Amino acid sequence: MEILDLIAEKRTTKGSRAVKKLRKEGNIPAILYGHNLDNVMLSLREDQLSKVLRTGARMIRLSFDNKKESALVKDVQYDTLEDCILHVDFSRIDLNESVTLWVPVELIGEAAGVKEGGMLAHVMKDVEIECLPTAIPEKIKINISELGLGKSIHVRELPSLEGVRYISNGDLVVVSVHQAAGEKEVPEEELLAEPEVITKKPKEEEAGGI
Amino acid sequence: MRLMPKRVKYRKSQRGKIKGNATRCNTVAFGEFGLQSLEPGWITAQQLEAGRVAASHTLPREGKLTIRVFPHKSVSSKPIETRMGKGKGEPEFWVAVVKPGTVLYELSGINEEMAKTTFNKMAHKMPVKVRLVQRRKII
Repeated sequence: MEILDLIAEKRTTKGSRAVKKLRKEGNIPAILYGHNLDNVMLSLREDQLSKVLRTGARMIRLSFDNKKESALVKDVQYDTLEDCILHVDFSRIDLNESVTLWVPVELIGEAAGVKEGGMLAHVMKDVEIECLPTAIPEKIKINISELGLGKSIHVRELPSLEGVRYISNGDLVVVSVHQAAGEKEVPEEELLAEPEVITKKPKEEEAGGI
Repeated sequence: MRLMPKRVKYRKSQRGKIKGNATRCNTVAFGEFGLQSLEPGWITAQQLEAGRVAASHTLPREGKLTIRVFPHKSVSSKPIETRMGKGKGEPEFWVAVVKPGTVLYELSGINEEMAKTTFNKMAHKMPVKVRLVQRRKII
Protein backbone atom coordinates (compact mmCIF):
# COMPACT_ATOMS: atom_id res chain seq x y z
CA MET A 1 0.00 0.00 0.00
CA GLU A 2 1.49 3.35 -0.99
CA ILE A 3 1.93 6.31 1.32
CA LEU A 4 -0.17 9.30 0.26
CA ASP A 5 0.61 12.94 1.00
CA LEU A 6 -1.75 15.31 2.78
CA ILE A 7 -1.28 18.97 3.55
CA ALA A 8 -2.45 19.94 7.03
CA GLU A 9 -2.52 23.09 9.10
CA LYS A 10 -1.88 23.37 12.79
CA ARG A 11 -4.88 24.62 14.72
CA THR A 12 -5.00 26.23 18.11
CA THR A 13 -8.75 26.47 18.59
CA LYS A 14 -10.60 23.60 20.19
CA GLY A 15 -14.04 22.85 21.53
CA SER A 16 -17.32 22.13 19.79
CA ARG A 17 -18.05 25.72 18.79
CA ALA A 18 -14.65 26.27 17.15
CA VAL A 19 -14.79 22.89 15.44
CA LYS A 20 -18.26 23.60 14.01
CA LYS A 21 -16.92 26.86 12.55
CA LEU A 22 -14.01 24.95 11.06
CA ARG A 23 -16.33 22.45 9.38
CA LYS A 24 -18.44 25.26 7.95
CA GLU A 25 -15.31 26.60 6.23
CA GLY A 26 -14.73 23.21 4.56
CA ASN A 27 -12.09 21.92 6.93
CA ILE A 28 -11.99 18.78 9.05
CA PRO A 29 -10.48 18.76 12.55
CA ALA A 30 -7.87 16.07 13.16
CA ILE A 31 -5.35 15.05 15.78
CA LEU A 32 -1.91 13.50 15.56
CA TYR A 33 -0.61 11.53 18.53
CA GLY A 34 1.70 8.74 19.63
CA HIS A 35 5.37 7.87 20.13
CA ASN A 36 5.49 9.76 23.46
CA LEU A 37 5.46 13.12 21.66
CA ASP A 38 3.03 15.97 22.17
CA ASN A 39 -0.39 15.74 20.56
CA VAL A 40 -0.81 18.07 17.58
CA MET A 41 -4.23 19.44 16.66
CA LEU A 42 -4.60 19.76 12.91
CA SER A 43 -7.12 20.83 10.34
CA LEU A 44 -7.36 19.33 6.85
CA ARG A 45 -9.19 20.32 3.69
CA GLU A 46 -12.30 18.15 3.43
CA ASP A 47 -12.05 17.58 -0.34
CA GLN A 48 -8.42 16.46 -0.13
CA LEU A 49 -9.04 14.20 2.85
CA SER A 50 -12.08 12.45 1.39
CA LYS A 51 -10.20 11.92 -1.89
CA VAL A 52 -7.35 10.21 0.00
CA LEU A 53 -9.67 8.11 2.21
CA ARG A 54 -11.69 6.98 -0.80
CA THR A 55 -8.60 5.23 -2.17
CA GLY A 56 -8.55 3.04 0.96
CA ALA A 57 -5.16 4.44 2.00
CA ARG A 58 -4.13 3.82 5.60
CA MET A 59 -0.65 5.36 5.53
CA ILE A 60 -0.46 9.13 5.23
CA ARG A 61 2.48 11.53 5.07
CA LEU A 62 1.28 14.69 6.80
CA SER A 63 3.02 17.95 5.99
CA PHE A 64 2.57 20.86 8.37
CA ASP A 65 4.83 23.57 9.83
CA ASN A 66 7.53 22.84 7.23
CA LYS A 67 7.93 19.25 8.39
CA LYS A 68 6.63 15.87 7.37
CA GLU A 69 5.39 13.06 9.59
CA SER A 70 4.26 9.56 8.67
CA ALA A 71 1.01 8.55 10.28
CA LEU A 72 -1.54 5.77 10.27
CA VAL A 73 -5.24 6.64 9.96
CA LYS A 74 -6.40 5.28 13.30
CA ASP A 75 -10.02 6.37 13.35
CA VAL A 76 -12.48 8.36 11.25
CA GLN A 77 -15.70 9.68 12.78
CA TYR A 78 -18.63 10.07 10.41
CA ASP A 79 -21.97 11.79 10.73
CA THR A 80 -24.26 8.85 10.04
CA LEU A 81 -27.11 11.00 8.75
CA GLU A 82 -25.24 13.64 6.75
CA ASP A 83 -22.59 11.22 5.43
CA CYS A 84 -19.73 13.60 6.13
CA ILE A 85 -16.47 13.25 8.03
CA LEU A 86 -16.46 14.80 11.51
CA HIS A 87 -12.96 14.08 12.80
CA VAL A 88 -9.85 12.04 12.01
CA ASP A 89 -7.30 10.45 14.34
CA PHE A 90 -3.74 9.96 13.09
CA SER A 91 -1.21 7.84 14.95
CA ARG A 92 2.50 8.60 14.48
CA ILE A 93 4.45 5.63 13.20
CA ASP A 94 8.02 4.60 12.65
CA LEU A 95 8.39 2.94 9.25
CA ASN A 96 10.62 0.27 10.84
CA GLU A 97 8.15 -0.59 13.61
CA SER A 98 5.26 -3.00 13.08
CA VAL A 99 1.68 -1.76 13.43
CA THR A 100 -1.59 -3.52 14.32
CA LEU A 101 -4.66 -2.81 12.21
CA TRP A 102 -7.85 -4.31 10.73
CA VAL A 103 -7.88 -5.24 7.04
CA PRO A 104 -10.96 -6.24 4.98
CA VAL A 105 -11.41 -9.83 3.81
CA GLU A 106 -12.48 -10.33 0.18
CA LEU A 107 -14.02 -13.55 -1.12
CA ILE A 108 -13.11 -14.72 -4.62
CA GLY A 109 -15.14 -17.18 -6.67
CA GLU A 110 -18.41 -18.97 -6.00
CA ALA A 111 -18.42 -21.60 -3.28
CA ALA A 112 -19.07 -25.19 -4.38
CA GLY A 113 -21.42 -25.59 -1.42
CA VAL A 114 -23.68 -22.77 -2.66
CA LYS A 115 -24.18 -24.64 -5.97
CA GLU A 116 -25.27 -27.67 -3.91
CA GLY A 117 -27.95 -25.58 -2.20
CA GLY A 118 -26.07 -24.21 0.81
CA MET A 119 -25.95 -20.67 2.17
CA LEU A 120 -22.73 -18.67 2.28
CA ALA A 121 -22.09 -16.88 5.58
CA HIS A 122 -19.32 -14.28 5.50
CA VAL A 123 -18.92 -13.97 9.25
CA MET A 124 -15.69 -11.98 9.63
CA LYS A 125 -15.55 -9.13 7.19
CA ASP A 126 -12.32 -7.72 8.66
CA VAL A 127 -9.35 -9.41 10.25
CA GLU A 128 -6.71 -7.97 12.59
CA ILE A 129 -3.12 -8.17 11.42
CA GLU A 130 0.35 -7.05 12.47
CA CYS A 131 2.89 -5.94 9.88
CA LEU A 132 5.34 -3.23 8.91
CA PRO A 133 3.71 -0.01 7.69
CA THR A 134 5.27 -0.55 4.28
CA ALA A 135 3.78 -4.05 3.96
CA ILE A 136 0.12 -3.33 4.76
CA PRO A 137 -2.05 -5.36 2.37
CA GLU A 138 -5.07 -3.60 0.84
CA LYS A 139 -7.26 -6.65 1.53
CA ILE A 140 -6.94 -10.33 2.33
CA LYS A 141 -8.21 -12.35 -0.64
CA ILE A 142 -9.64 -15.83 -0.05
CA ASN A 143 -10.54 -18.25 -2.83
CA ILE A 144 -13.75 -19.98 -1.80
CA SER A 145 -14.42 -21.92 -5.01
CA GLU A 146 -13.59 -25.24 -3.28
CA LEU A 147 -15.59 -24.53 -0.12
CA GLY A 148 -18.16 -27.32 0.14
CA LEU A 149 -21.40 -27.62 2.08
CA GLY A 150 -20.82 -27.72 5.84
CA LYS A 151 -17.23 -26.51 5.48
CA SER A 152 -15.69 -23.33 6.84
CA ILE A 153 -12.48 -21.32 6.64
CA HIS A 154 -10.92 -20.21 9.93
CA VAL A 155 -8.48 -17.37 10.61
CA ARG A 156 -5.63 -19.91 10.92
CA GLU A 157 -6.36 -21.11 7.36
CA LEU A 158 -6.08 -17.66 5.78
CA PRO A 159 -3.41 -17.29 3.07
CA SER A 160 -0.02 -16.39 4.52
CA LEU A 161 1.35 -13.10 3.25
CA GLU A 162 4.96 -12.05 3.52
CA GLY A 163 5.59 -9.96 6.64
CA VAL A 164 1.96 -10.23 7.83
CA ARG A 165 0.94 -11.95 11.08
CA TYR A 166 -2.71 -12.57 11.95
CA ILE A 167 -3.64 -11.29 15.41
CA SER A 168 -7.29 -12.39 15.41
CA ASN A 169 -7.99 -15.70 17.18
CA GLY A 170 -7.11 -18.57 14.82
CA ASP A 171 -10.24 -20.55 15.75
CA LEU A 172 -12.65 -17.84 14.57
CA VAL A 173 -14.68 -18.66 11.46
CA VAL A 174 -14.17 -16.22 8.57
CA VAL A 175 -16.53 -17.76 6.05
CA SER A 176 -18.70 -20.88 6.01
CA VAL A 177 -21.30 -22.64 3.88
CA HIS A 178 -24.22 -24.16 5.74
CA GLN A 179 -27.61 -25.65 4.99
CA ALA A 180 -30.36 -23.03 4.78
CA ALA A 181 -32.64 -23.35 7.81
CA GLY A 182 -36.35 -23.31 7.10
CA GLU A 183 -38.70 -20.97 8.93
CA LYS A 184 -39.88 -22.21 12.29
CA GLU A 185 -43.61 -22.66 12.75
CA VAL A 186 -44.76 -20.84 15.86
CA PRO A 187 -47.78 -22.38 17.58
CA GLU A 188 -50.89 -20.20 17.72
CA GLU A 189 -50.97 -20.22 21.54
CA GLU A 190 -47.48 -18.72 21.68
CA LEU A 191 -48.47 -15.95 19.26
CA LEU A 192 -51.36 -14.90 21.47
CA ALA A 193 -49.45 -15.28 24.74
CA GLU A 194 -48.82 -12.20 26.86
CA PRO A 195 -45.29 -11.46 28.12
CA GLU A 196 -44.48 -12.66 31.61
CA VAL A 197 -44.42 -9.77 34.11
CA ILE A 198 -41.41 -10.03 36.44
CA THR A 199 -42.67 -7.61 39.09
CA LYS A 200 -46.14 -9.13 39.32
CA LYS A 201 -47.07 -9.72 42.94
CA PRO A 202 -48.34 -13.18 43.83
CA LYS A 203 -52.06 -13.21 44.59
CA GLU A 204 -52.80 -12.86 48.28
CA GLU A 205 -53.93 -16.04 49.82
CA GLU A 206 -57.65 -16.10 50.33
CA ALA A 207 -58.86 -15.50 53.85
CA GLY A 208 -59.28 -18.59 55.98
CA GLY A 209 -62.59 -20.49 56.18
CA ILE A 210 -65.56 -19.45 58.26
CA MET B 1 -42.98 -14.73 13.97
CA ARG B 2 -43.59 -13.54 17.52
CA LEU B 3 -42.21 -10.01 17.85
CA MET B 4 -42.78 -9.08 21.48
CA PRO B 5 -40.73 -9.52 24.65
CA LYS B 6 -40.89 -12.81 26.53
CA ARG B 7 -40.61 -11.12 29.94
CA VAL B 8 -41.23 -7.52 30.96
CA LYS B 9 -40.85 -5.61 34.20
CA TYR B 10 -44.08 -3.67 33.73
CA ARG B 11 -46.94 -4.41 31.31
CA LYS B 12 -47.77 -0.80 30.47
CA SER B 13 -45.39 2.04 29.58
CA GLN B 14 -45.69 5.81 29.27
CA ARG B 15 -45.70 7.21 25.74
CA GLY B 16 -42.40 9.10 25.94
CA LYS B 17 -40.87 11.63 23.57
CA ILE B 18 -38.38 10.88 20.81
CA LYS B 19 -35.55 13.41 20.93
CA GLY B 20 -32.40 13.71 18.82
CA ASN B 21 -30.71 11.36 16.41
CA ALA B 22 -29.63 7.76 16.94
CA THR B 23 -26.22 7.47 18.53
CA ARG B 24 -26.19 3.70 18.56
CA CYS B 25 -27.42 1.10 16.09
CA ASN B 26 -26.72 3.70 13.39
CA THR B 27 -24.19 1.86 11.21
CA VAL B 28 -24.38 -1.26 9.05
CA ALA B 29 -22.86 -3.93 11.28
CA PHE B 30 -23.89 -7.41 10.08
CA GLY B 31 -24.56 -7.15 6.34
CA GLU B 32 -23.45 -5.10 3.35
CA PHE B 33 -26.55 -2.94 2.95
CA GLY B 34 -28.91 -1.38 5.46
CA LEU B 35 -32.27 0.38 5.59
CA GLN B 36 -31.83 3.53 7.67
CA SER B 37 -34.63 5.53 9.21
CA LEU B 38 -34.65 9.27 8.50
CA GLU B 39 -37.47 10.19 10.86
CA PRO B 40 -38.34 9.50 14.48
CA GLY B 41 -41.29 7.22 15.07
CA TRP B 42 -42.79 4.00 16.34
CA ILE B 43 -42.60 0.87 14.19
CA THR B 44 -45.13 -1.73 15.25
CA ALA B 45 -44.36 -5.43 15.41
CA GLN B 46 -46.81 -5.97 12.54
CA GLN B 47 -45.03 -3.43 10.34
CA LEU B 48 -41.66 -5.02 11.10
CA GLU B 49 -43.08 -8.43 10.22
CA ALA B 50 -44.66 -7.02 7.02
CA GLY B 51 -41.21 -5.72 6.03
CA ARG B 52 -39.66 -9.12 6.67
CA VAL B 53 -42.33 -10.92 4.61
CA ALA B 54 -41.90 -8.41 1.75
CA ALA B 55 -38.17 -9.13 1.80
CA SER B 56 -38.63 -12.90 1.83
CA HIS B 57 -40.82 -12.66 -1.29
CA THR B 58 -38.22 -10.64 -3.19
CA LEU B 59 -34.96 -12.08 -1.91
CA PRO B 60 -33.19 -14.90 -3.71
CA ARG B 61 -32.38 -17.94 -1.61
CA GLU B 62 -28.83 -16.86 -0.78
CA GLY B 63 -29.63 -13.42 0.66
CA LYS B 64 -29.73 -13.01 4.45
CA LEU B 65 -31.90 -10.48 6.28
CA THR B 66 -31.15 -9.15 9.76
CA ILE B 67 -33.70 -7.16 11.78
CA ARG B 68 -31.83 -4.60 13.89
CA VAL B 69 -34.73 -3.27 15.99
CA PHE B 70 -37.11 -5.00 18.38
CA PRO B 71 -40.54 -3.89 19.67
CA HIS B 72 -39.82 -3.49 23.38
CA LYS B 73 -42.50 -0.89 24.10
CA SER B 74 -46.14 -1.72 24.76
CA VAL B 75 -48.84 0.68 23.61
CA SER B 76 -52.16 0.65 25.42
CA SER B 77 -55.51 1.95 24.27
CA LYS B 78 -59.02 2.24 25.66
CA PRO B 79 -61.87 0.25 24.13
CA ILE B 80 -64.24 2.20 21.87
CA GLU B 81 -67.34 3.85 23.36
CA THR B 82 -65.77 3.92 26.81
CA ARG B 83 -66.06 6.91 29.12
CA MET B 84 -62.85 8.62 30.20
CA GLY B 85 -61.29 7.61 33.48
CA LYS B 86 -61.28 4.19 35.08
CA GLY B 87 -57.55 3.87 34.60
CA LYS B 88 -55.15 3.18 31.75
CA GLY B 89 -56.24 0.92 28.91
CA GLU B 90 -54.92 -2.54 28.18
CA PRO B 91 -51.76 -3.09 26.06
CA GLU B 92 -52.85 -3.43 22.43
CA PHE B 93 -49.65 -3.75 20.43
CA TRP B 94 -45.86 -3.54 20.67
CA VAL B 95 -43.61 -0.99 19.00
CA ALA B 96 -39.92 -0.33 18.38
CA VAL B 97 -38.92 3.27 19.13
CA VAL B 98 -36.86 4.57 16.22
CA LYS B 99 -34.73 7.71 15.98
CA PRO B 100 -33.37 9.30 12.76
CA GLY B 101 -30.28 7.32 11.78
CA THR B 102 -31.37 3.95 13.21
CA VAL B 103 -30.63 1.01 10.91
CA LEU B 104 -33.81 -1.08 10.77
CA TYR B 105 -32.84 -4.00 8.53
CA GLU B 106 -29.62 -5.29 7.00
CA LEU B 107 -29.03 -7.47 3.97
CA SER B 108 -26.02 -9.58 3.06
CA GLY B 109 -25.03 -12.03 0.35
CA ILE B 110 -26.70 -10.13 -2.51
CA ASN B 111 -25.69 -7.46 -5.02
CA GLU B 112 -26.61 -3.78 -4.83
CA GLU B 113 -29.29 -4.00 -7.50
CA MET B 114 -31.10 -6.75 -5.61
CA ALA B 115 -30.71 -4.87 -2.31
CA LYS B 116 -32.28 -1.76 -3.87
CA THR B 117 -35.29 -3.72 -5.15
CA THR B 118 -35.78 -5.49 -1.81
CA PHE B 119 -35.43 -2.38 0.34
CA ASN B 120 -37.78 -0.47 -1.97
CA LYS B 121 -40.51 -3.04 -1.27
CA MET B 122 -39.75 -2.98 2.46
CA ALA B 123 -39.76 0.84 2.56
CA HIS B 124 -43.41 0.79 1.49
CA LYS B 125 -44.26 -1.09 4.71
CA MET B 126 -42.50 1.39 6.98
CA PRO B 127 -44.25 4.29 8.74
CA VAL B 128 -41.10 6.45 8.54
CA LYS B 129 -38.96 7.78 5.68
CA VAL B 130 -36.03 5.47 5.04
CA ARG B 131 -33.01 5.22 2.76
CA LEU B 132 -30.49 2.61 1.66
CA VAL B 133 -27.05 2.79 3.26
CA GLN B 134 -23.96 0.75 2.52
CA ARG B 135 -21.42 -0.73 4.86
CA ARG B 136 -18.47 1.60 5.32
CA LYS B 137 -14.91 0.54 4.74
CA ILE B 138 -12.98 -0.06 7.98
CA ILE B 139 -11.77 3.53 7.90
